[in-house]
Amino acid sequence: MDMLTVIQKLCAGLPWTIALTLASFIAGAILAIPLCALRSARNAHLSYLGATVILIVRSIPPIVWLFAVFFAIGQHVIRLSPFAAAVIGLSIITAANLAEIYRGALKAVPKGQSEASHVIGLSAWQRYRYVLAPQVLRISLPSASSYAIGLLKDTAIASAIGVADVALIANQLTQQTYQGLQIYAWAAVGYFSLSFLMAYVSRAVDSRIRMRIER
Amino acid sequence: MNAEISFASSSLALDLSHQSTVLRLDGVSKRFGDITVLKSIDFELKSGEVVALIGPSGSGKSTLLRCINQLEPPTAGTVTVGDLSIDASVGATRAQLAGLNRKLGMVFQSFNLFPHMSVLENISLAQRRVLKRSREEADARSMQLLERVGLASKASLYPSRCSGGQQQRIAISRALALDPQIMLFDEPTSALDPEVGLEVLAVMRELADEGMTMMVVTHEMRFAENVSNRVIVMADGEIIEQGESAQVMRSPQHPRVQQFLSAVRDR
Repeated sequence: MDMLTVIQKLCAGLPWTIALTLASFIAGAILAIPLCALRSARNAHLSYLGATVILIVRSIPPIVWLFAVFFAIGQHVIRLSPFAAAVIGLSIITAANLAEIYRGALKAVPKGQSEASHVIGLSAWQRYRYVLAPQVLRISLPSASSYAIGLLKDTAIASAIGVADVALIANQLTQQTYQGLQIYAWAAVGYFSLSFLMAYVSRAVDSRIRMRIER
Repeated sequence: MNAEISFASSSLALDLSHQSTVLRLDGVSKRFGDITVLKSIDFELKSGEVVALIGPSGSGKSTLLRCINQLEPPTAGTVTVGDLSIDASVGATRAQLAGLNRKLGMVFQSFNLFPHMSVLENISLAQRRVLKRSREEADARSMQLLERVGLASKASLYPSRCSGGQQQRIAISRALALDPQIMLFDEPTSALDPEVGLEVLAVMRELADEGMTMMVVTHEMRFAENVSNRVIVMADGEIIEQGESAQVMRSPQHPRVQQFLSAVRDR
């Protein structure tokens, strides 16, 4: 099999890898908001509950999560496609990690911002919506984007439950052709290009915001 | 900004005795754990009065201010602003807090402008979201206030593009935009170098001359003497001396006050 065919076949996996990364990241970024709220709750019980959820999710390896969602839930509760199972598993892990990133960012916003919101009469919802959330987003951006790059690479484990992503195709091609070195090298180039693109975009966005806001 | 920066003694000694009381503290105390930072403060503020709160660091001046608008809920006592009365033993309801914030404006030492919004948006935000003014109405009012403090040209900039003195004048505008009855200033010039601080003091002086009721925690002794009607000296969580500004500043009675004033005067 010539390398052009290999590259073409690997490229067929790219949309799956990208879709998996985007879907898990977006779902996780949204799920992380209530989780962060729970973790940051003033009520100690709620806060412990949040901390426990985050600890459990983060202590279990991603592949175990994926197997758990796909084989346990996907075959006994509701039928899930490998892709859906992978998105569910990865977005739960993403949510736990981003919740901690949000929490750190929330702590990094100076207390004066909340105080100023109070004295001008904003409600709690308005305080978060207009004052805190935009600043948390900005502070979270660098950590969240490096997490996203990590997530991109973690999506490769979805091949273990049969998502036809770059990793799965590379594995199949290797078994057919025994040209593992070249094939995995090209797969690596694919992952590298995507990571590089993501890093570039996030840095561009970050410096744009920084240019406008910071001194 | 061309506002005149002068500190000649206030032209007229205001007679405020017939004015109505707009703020009243009865036995307000604040404890943080075992430490008592405010010891049963009684206090009255009349409409149009400008009160300077002075005293050494840690004497409770800022805490007193923050107890008034419940940024630090008092642990005992009653805060009454207009027809609103908040008893520390009961606590403030959400509606009471909202009412309190409508009546009180506050300016912080560190400005606390919102860094992700333009200067105009900083001033318009609460007008639109709390007072439900339309965008046009809010922005018009914001521009009017910015013009007054000489910063109309900064409206579209982010706060970080403005100097400290400018940021503080913007913060004052943000508070004034909500038409407060009383303005609380918590060391408004302490984070500024002395020259820049004068721009801010000039704005505050104008405000005082227009009849705004003000409470100012400050280390600016000239401002205390010349702009305020009354000076309150605090130490260790208590009011140890108060009275007409010139009198307290020139011939203090309490030895602790004499010591404090001579220390700050000798600099």
